[in-house]
Amino acid sequence: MDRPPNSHSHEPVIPAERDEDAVLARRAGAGEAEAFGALYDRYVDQVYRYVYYRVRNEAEAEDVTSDVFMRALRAIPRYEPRQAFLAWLYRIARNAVIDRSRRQQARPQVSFEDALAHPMGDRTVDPNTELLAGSDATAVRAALRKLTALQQEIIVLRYVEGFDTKTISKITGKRDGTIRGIEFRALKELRALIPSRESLS
Amino acid sequence: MSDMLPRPEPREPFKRALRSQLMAQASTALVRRETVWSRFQVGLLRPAVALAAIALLLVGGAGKAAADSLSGDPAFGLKTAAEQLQLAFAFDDTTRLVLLSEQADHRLAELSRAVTTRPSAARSATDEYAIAVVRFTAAVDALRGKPGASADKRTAAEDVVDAAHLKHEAVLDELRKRAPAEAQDGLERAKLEADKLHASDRPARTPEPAERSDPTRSPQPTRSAPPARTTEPARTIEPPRASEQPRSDPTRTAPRPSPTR
Repeated sequence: MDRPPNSHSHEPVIPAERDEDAVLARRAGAGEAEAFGALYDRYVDQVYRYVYYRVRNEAEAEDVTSDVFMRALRAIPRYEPRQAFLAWLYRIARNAVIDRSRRQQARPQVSFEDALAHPMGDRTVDPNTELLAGSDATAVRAALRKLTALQQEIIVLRYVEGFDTKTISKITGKRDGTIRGIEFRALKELRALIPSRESLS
Repeated sequence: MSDMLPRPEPREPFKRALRSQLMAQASTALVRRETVWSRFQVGLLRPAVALAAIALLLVGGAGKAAADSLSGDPAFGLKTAAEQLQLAFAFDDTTRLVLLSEQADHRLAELSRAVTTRPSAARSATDEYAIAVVRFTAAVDALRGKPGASADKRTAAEDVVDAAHLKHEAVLDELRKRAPAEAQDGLERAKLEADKLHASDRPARTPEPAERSDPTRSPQPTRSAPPARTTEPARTIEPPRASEQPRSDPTRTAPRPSPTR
């Protein structure tokens, strides 16, 4: 699976957009508030979605998303344009989620099932993978709940956001090969856990 | 649709509210960072460059020639530049006043040398002396009018200016007695400038013999408490530069050594 299966309009960031991001980030770092606003407009949905898949509910997702952009605002003067802005932003989001979960250790960190039940979750994407496309959402939810938090994170980034493993590597701080390995094991587990469409029908 | 992954989207009101909040924060957060950097540049980089310049001045061997120079000499500009750098490092009002007092002392000593050894330089030396006195008294006045300046600082300033007044008057009186006729006009002007150093309305202190006999010694602040001076400099030869206004830094009070002496 070299290409992300996500065929939604939110394609991985292309080089031209990366250049635009870098320019906007540099202007924002120099004090131009509207440049930061443009970056926010461009990426708030993606950040929210990523956060939502990793926290319990909508309210928390909004809370963490606010935290992410506040952190980004404070950090953007130190942003290094050689790094992809979106990967940089996702790292902030990832850290915010981790910090949040540390503060709320008593609560489960990830609930993919809750995420699937999002009230706005009717906007959906067709995964191209044989595995996910051929499975019932309930079974997928049940199976995903059994994955580790990192496996779930990688599945979301890969199959919901459509990032390639290189980008996921930058976001998670794991090596490219490690990401592939985790993804492979996650899919293998899912195959074992999720009944095929034929058996369901 | 049951086999599709949902793509949850944030609520529009949430997005709008967060954007407004970010824009409100950005206008201060991003500007504040610039200010921090500007402060770093002004507060650390600029003095660091100044320090390097002073070091070069001293290491380069130009210090001695500059210290002996009189107004009009090529090295005189170097000496005054070094003095300005010293002032740039004076983060404390009292230190700054002492430095300005020392600079007035230097100009007085140069005037004395000019009168006795090079009368042709006496006129420009008088001008330089007048400038130094104006800057000194302007700094005293600025400190006096500065809100929040402590009584101790004000007292120290008055003491510095009083001591300078006594010393300068004594030196100029002595010079007038032995100066050639062509230098008398310049000395008269210098005496008028020295009168501006009369810092306070309190009775002038009787100079100690040591003060009279050592015109090169810089006045040191004491702890007596005079009433505030109200007279302004009668004539301004050169307006004090904005950069010479006293700066407040209560953490530093010790005067710095002069590289020109």
